[in-house]
Amino acid sequence: MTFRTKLLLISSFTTAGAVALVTGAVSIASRRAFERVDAGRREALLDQFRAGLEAQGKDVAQRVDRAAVSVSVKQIAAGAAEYDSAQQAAEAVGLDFLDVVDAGHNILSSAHWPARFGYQNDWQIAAEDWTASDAFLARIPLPEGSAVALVAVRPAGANNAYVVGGRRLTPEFLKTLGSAPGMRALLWLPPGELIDAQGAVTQPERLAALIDQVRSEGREASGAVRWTAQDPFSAQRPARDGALPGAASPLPRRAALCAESMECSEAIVGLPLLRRGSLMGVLLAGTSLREQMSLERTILWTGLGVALSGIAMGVLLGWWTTERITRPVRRLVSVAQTVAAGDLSSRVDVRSRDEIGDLAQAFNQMTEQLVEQRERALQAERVAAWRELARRLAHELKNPLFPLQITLENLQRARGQSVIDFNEIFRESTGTLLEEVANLKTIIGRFSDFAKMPAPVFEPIDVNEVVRSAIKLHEARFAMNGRSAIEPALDLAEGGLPITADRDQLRRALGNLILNAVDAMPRGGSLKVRTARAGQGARIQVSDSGEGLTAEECGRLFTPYYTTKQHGTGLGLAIVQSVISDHHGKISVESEPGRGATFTIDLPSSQEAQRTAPGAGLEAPLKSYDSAAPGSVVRGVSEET
Amino acid sequence: MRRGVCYDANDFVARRILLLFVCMCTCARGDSFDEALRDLAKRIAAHLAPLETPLLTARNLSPMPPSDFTRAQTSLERELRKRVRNPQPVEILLTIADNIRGYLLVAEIRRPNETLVEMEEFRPDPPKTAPRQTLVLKKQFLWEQDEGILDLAMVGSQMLVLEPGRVVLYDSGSGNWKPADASALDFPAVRDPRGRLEIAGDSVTIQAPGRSCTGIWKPALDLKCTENSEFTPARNTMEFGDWRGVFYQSGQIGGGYLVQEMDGRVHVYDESNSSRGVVDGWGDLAVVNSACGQLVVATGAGVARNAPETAALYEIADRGAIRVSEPLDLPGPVTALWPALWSSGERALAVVHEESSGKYSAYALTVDCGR
Amino acid sequence: MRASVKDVDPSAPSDDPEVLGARAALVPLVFETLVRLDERGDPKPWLATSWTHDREHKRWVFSTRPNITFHDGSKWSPPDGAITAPDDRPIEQILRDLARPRNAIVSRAPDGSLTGTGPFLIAEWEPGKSARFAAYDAYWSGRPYLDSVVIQMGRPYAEQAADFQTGRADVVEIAARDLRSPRSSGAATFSTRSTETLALQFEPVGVPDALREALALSIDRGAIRDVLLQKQGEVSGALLPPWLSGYSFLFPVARNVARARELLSSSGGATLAFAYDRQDTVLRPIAERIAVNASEAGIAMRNSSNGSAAVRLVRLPITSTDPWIALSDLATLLKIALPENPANPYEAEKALLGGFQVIPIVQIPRGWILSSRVRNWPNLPDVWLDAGPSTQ
Repeated sequence: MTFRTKLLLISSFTTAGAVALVTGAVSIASRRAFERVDAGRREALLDQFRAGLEAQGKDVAQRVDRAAVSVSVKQIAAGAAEYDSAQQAAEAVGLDFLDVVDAGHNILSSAHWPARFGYQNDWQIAAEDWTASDAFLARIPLPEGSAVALVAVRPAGANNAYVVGGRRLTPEFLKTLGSAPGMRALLWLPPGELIDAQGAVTQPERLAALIDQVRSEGREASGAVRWTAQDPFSAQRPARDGALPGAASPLPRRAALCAESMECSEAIVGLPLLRRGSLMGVLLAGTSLREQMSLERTILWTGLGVALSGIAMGVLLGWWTTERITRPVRRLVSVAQTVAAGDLSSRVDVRSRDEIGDLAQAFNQMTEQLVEQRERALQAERVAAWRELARRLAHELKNPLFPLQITLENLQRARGQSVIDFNEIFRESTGTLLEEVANLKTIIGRFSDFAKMPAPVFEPIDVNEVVRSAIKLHEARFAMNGRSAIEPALDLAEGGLPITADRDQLRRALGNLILNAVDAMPRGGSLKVRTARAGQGARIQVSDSGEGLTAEECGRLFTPYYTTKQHGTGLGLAIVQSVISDHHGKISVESEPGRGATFTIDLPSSQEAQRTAPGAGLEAPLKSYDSAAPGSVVRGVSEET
Repeated sequence: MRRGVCYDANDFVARRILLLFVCMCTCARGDSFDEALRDLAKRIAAHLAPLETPLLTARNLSPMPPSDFTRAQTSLERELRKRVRNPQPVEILLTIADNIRGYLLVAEIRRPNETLVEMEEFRPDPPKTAPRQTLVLKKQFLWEQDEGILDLAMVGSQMLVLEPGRVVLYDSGSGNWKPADASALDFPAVRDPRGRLEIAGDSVTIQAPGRSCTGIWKPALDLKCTENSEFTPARNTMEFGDWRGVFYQSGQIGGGYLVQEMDGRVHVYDESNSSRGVVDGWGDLAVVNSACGQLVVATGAGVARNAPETAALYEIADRGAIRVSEPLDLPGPVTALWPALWSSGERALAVVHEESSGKYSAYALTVDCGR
Repeated sequence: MRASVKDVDPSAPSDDPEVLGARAALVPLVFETLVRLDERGDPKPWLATSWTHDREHKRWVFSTRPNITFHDGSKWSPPDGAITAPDDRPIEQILRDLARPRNAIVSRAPDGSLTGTGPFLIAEWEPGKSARFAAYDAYWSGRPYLDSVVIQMGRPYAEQAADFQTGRADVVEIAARDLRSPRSSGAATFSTRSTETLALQFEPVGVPDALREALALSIDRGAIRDVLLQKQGEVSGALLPPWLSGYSFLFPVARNVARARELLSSSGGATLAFAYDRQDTVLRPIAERIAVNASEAGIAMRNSSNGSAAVRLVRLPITSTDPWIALSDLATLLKIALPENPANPYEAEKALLGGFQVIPIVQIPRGWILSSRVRNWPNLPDVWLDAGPSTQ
């Protein structure tokens, strides 16, 4: 992650965090304010309902009063009327239910269920209610079930008769109690009837928990209910064009569907309607949470908008700020990369007078020093390399020259011997001379080859095929002369591994690695060659189970003439590296003493080869090294035969 | 339309009576009935095992007179009697019922696990239709006054007249009726008032809606009034202690009752309070014990409330009534019709609101049994 | 009348109780039988003047009344002035059969129309709606006093009452419970003996025996009669009224709710689909009361709205003063077979009522309100109208 990105993120998070905090605080505060207001409205509504219920009860009591003094009821009480006369009495005073009962509460006449004459009145009226003056709630059995009504009792006529009358609680009845917009009243009546002034209650099961709580605790309880089917307050809202609720509205019906939003939520308070300790019903007052939800949503979106704007502004400011900060740094970085790539002539052009400017100046100074040191190092390495080359040449040439000298001296001495002996010695000596001259030629040829390795000829090849051919070429070595067999194992990439490379050079390089590995396993072992795709290029790994190398040896391994073997010119790995370098690849080694070594070659495909960073194909700078410590196992690269 | 009440001079609150159905008179049964009983006995016996003996109980659901019923029961017992050792009694319930064809003798042989039924019909011979006497209902003027008359009683040369607000004692010693004493009665004003005078020696009992007064009328009126009465307070109905509901009038005839109930129809009941018939078309009624038998004086239902009414004599028969005299025209609507107890029940007292004069006239209605 | 009668063909069967009862009243106006049953159920000569037993030919010979003409003027002249019937049955049965409307003497025209010999002829006939019967001038027993009788059919009680109030009818039917109320307004009423049995009729299958019996035990007949019918009618556990059979007391009417609950204790209650004519102001309150009674025993009576029901409250007419004929007609209506050769009507009725396939409740009279000019109701040939001004 770049510094600029970090700066941007920090500024964005800071802005967003601040906005989120403010938004949250405002949202909570507004919700609490809403809840307080709603609670107040609900209490007012409940008070209104209580008052309304009381007024309705008084009305019922007055109607029952009128019924009690009517002629028809008196006739019924006196036994001088027909069994269904109560219907007329009930209609006259506007009561839904009317029973005229005798002193034993046996029905003399029933308006709503005439066939029940003679039976006991079964409205579950408590004994003390028969003489009560107020109206009360009671459940009235009907042929088709039962109903709950506001009921009053009055004495009627002679013979200690009573008239019990009432009006049914219906949605219309609830409507007369009145309600404010955004509020509504429901009435729950045992065992499970739910009445809403606006019609049928959808999803009544969602009120069950609150109702059960009120029933079990016998006191007020509140809760929130989310409606997912339909907004119960949709009928109260005017349509967009100002039409009356319920009229054809241009608003789509989706406005009434609540499945997708939380807006159709309702805060409900349940109030138990008790009569002498027994629950007659539960009055539910609900207020729509739509406005609150809407406000919260507005706050949320506003906060989100502010946050996004803040972030955007923060991003812009941050970008401008970081741009000013990071541009010189980037320049510095770019130049540093150039320098790291080898171009020590690059300089940072930063003229600011702040810390970045100081840093740039210091960098430039460092780079100049590096250039000087590099040149001095190069010079020293060149001198060291020439010295090494001279030593090696001297060492290589010395070997064949000494036998040459001896042979020539022998030949001089042999001149003085017999012809036959001279001929014999002449023959032997000339043979030896020829061998040593050939040896010299070989040595010189190798040096010449190394000095003028040809440029690679790129062509499409299959790495796997090259590996196989290299193995085949050297497989005779795997079981040579007193050595245990070396087990070659190939783990080649499936389907071939096409790249663009010089087949011969690559085979030569692989051959050198194989020979090296064989030399590292004088008592046999396993040789593994693995190929795989590496990006768009190829990877070749040659592993052996030989003695392994130390870290220092790994570092010097690719230095020409560095060898850990007692024989060899030390050019093998250098040739490998040169080939790999010509192919714009990389070679590395991993090894630990006693655990073998693994050489890894990464070769690009032809495209990558063109994009290779400058300097990648350059020879690795020659390294100087100290002569190997006596007694250490040194390796080198066997020459190719 | 006025309502009246018929009193039994001997027992005002009697309940258990048996209605006399004249046409079902048992005088012609004789052998046929016994044959029916014998046949029934045979069929019952056929169901009894040798050691089983009948334990007979009986009930009468028909208008059969008690004497005939008892005779039937005795006859059947006799027919079923048998002597066995270690008798095993079996309950047998004899029910004498009736239908349009005659009597039905039903025997239920009741065992713990089953009840067998045998029945025998018995058709009595149709009653010999005796040539009916030509009966005539006559009226005799008694008294007239402007105020309403609820009841009137004549005892020798004195007359008591019950008015809505007082009772007046008249004396005819000088040849004309002159008021001798009067007693105001604190009776509440009632629509369609009614009242009744009961005289027993020197005692008098006055009944009115919601009030009754007792006391003496000789040598002078001395009455004490209470709030108990057989007349329903503020109504023109009557009520007995254990009779179902209120009624307008009632009368005892033979062993039966005539009750004019709230439906306006006169229902005929027997001793077990079972309905034996209904008579429609009567307004007021009074049962008289004439020389030619107990008869009902009844006024015809007036079409309009204050139209003149007629009165006629009726016999109760065939679950209904048969008119046995020509209708007697009356000069106005009848406001009261009672058996005239002061005449041993031979006559009826009718009070008419004269159409022409507007006065209230009291008439005695008598039965002329003819030749 | 409430019933809607489609035709007065005496031989046409009907399984509608109301129509059967109405036809029993209308058919004799137009068509006559050889014998008729009197008020005591005894056969009396009618179109046959006498009958003798011809042992030799094993038949009964019924001498026919002379000078009988059909309404179309044709003479009724059986061969030799007599009609015979084989003597393969007791004469009582033969006479009873001959008294049945289906054995009336009719003249059937080629177009299928019927002509009778009765005191009235059919002047106009709108099936199910109205009929006008005109006096037959040449009636053998004397022309009826009335020139014609118009009967509106299919009229509920309320509409008939409205017709009476507006003077459109002289005589209208009245529900039994209302027999007393018109008295207070001065109208005259006439009622018969109990000639209709209100009963619960079950479907032949589908209702367990115990449930039927439980329902029978739960009904409070006394309250129905005393309150709903205003004491008009009689509580009865029998199909035939006491005046006809005399033995109706043998069929129990006692209410036993505890026993009813016991019968249903294994099933824990039951539900019955219940049907009745809701327009019938007599049946409806009785049906509602029965439902209330049944609920005490744990039986829920649910009103059937689609016509199919397990139990119905029906009016069963008593069509004859002969108990055998009445029972036979009832058996046909109830679709219950009478036993073979029952010893007496009680045995036959006991078989009909066994198993509680039908539960009689009460027997009610028929009643009419009469205008003030109507005299001698209900025998139409003897009815006449007072010429005086109507004060109705």
